[in-house]
Amino acid sequence: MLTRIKAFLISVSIAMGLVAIHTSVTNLLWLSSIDMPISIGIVISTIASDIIGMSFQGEVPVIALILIGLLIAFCTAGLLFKRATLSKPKLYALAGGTALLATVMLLSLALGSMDLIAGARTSLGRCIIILAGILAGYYFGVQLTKVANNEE
Amino acid sequence: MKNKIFALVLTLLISSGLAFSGGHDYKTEVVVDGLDHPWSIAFISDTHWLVTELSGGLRVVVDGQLDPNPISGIPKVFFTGQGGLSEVRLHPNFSDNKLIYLSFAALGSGEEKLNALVVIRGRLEGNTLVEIETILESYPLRKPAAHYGGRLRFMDDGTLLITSGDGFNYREKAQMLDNHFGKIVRVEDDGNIPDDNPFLNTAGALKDIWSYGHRNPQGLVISDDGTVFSHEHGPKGGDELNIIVPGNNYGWPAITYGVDYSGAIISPFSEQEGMEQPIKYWVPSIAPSSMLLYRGDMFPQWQGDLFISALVPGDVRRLEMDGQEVEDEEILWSKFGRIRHIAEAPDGSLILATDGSDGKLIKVSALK
Repeated sequence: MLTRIKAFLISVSIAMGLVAIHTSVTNLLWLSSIDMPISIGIVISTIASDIIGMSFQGEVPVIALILIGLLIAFCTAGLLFKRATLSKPKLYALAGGTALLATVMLLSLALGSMDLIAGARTSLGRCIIILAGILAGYYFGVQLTKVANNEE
Repeated sequence: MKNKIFALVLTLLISSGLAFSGGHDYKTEVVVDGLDHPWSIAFISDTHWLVTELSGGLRVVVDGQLDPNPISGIPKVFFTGQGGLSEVRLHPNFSDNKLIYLSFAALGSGEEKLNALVVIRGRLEGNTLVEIETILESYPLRKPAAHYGGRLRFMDDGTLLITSGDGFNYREKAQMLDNHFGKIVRVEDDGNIPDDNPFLNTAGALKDIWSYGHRNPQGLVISDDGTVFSHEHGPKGGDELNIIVPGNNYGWPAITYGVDYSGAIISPFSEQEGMEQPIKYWVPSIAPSSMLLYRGDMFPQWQGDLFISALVPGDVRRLEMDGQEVEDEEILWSKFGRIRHIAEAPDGSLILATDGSDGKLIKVSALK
């Protein structure tokens, strides 16, 4: 049980970290396009600040939204696993991607089409956020597979 | 000797009383209630006021009584989120031409609920607005119902300044001149383009743009020497008060003193060559919603001061000005909650409009 919880929390961290990096890169790329002086130091400090800021300092804590989304999605995937023909990594990857997509869409709907996560304002940006959920879900599925193999 | 001591003590007592009260002798009273999200006030006379409601009504107050019948003929507004009927402003020659100007959010054509900031003018004939003309429709359409700006001010030369917000989702477009997001626009009173606008000859630029790089400017005043002051909402922190010079770039979102509501950094920069600095900014945000430059006789000690109404948590900021510099800031009237608008009535009193569905007009007047 503890292993599963640990794996879940790490998958949340993976998703949050990737979403934060995506947000940072999106903003910095645009700033660079208008000739603002972007250095390696600024890239690193911005990414670090965004990981912390988006996790704990926002008006809406993004990490909490991701956690809730992944929890619902992974629980659903767990219930579906016995009927599914997909492996656990693939099933949970699908669940993770769906969770992140639902999170950004529901957030936008709740805020009257305002996209709180800047990286979610374009189709490409939303695809990247979905990919973050896929990777987080894939990691979780791999860990569950290891747990299941150890138990056998 | 005893008399001198008595006189000294009396002087000290009186001085301490004045210091305790801040030297302000005024009273506040609710003069109108029952307004639905009041947004802006215009004074036809000392006793005849127009008040916009975000929900779409243009209301009339006569002798302190709210007319139950709104002005008819107002176009349909997109009342959702921050959108709705916003500013009302009288033409400088209203006494002759009866023209009033309104800004509001309106739906575009099509089914996607895309919308825009629209400015119209019409002639007030009794209780009806007639001969309506469109002065501005912001370009392009937007999806969120947020960040419209919407303040209107006439300059001494008869041209009209209009603030236009960045539409929230389109903040980067504030740095581009081919759209109205994050701009202050200047047009003639009939909507035509003045021949001395700064970007008339800039390829690809909208010719009505006067300044750019704004977020959601909702304060706009012009001082007697022609200085244009404007304030704008920042994100999480970073509300700004700026002096607007035509053609200048006010930096949003390339430079800012705030961060995103998500906690993410919008820009790691707060200054950059070629982008203007505010003369004052607020962290945390106060959500400045309107501004006036006090010129009245009722409070002579406040002449020349800027008054800024604030939504968060809700008060009015009085800024003592020394020319174009802010010398001091005083927080006033924080017991009424969110203040959407502050206006100076013809008699020199101040009228505050509270925000919300149970909006009130509160009069600040001198104690007699």
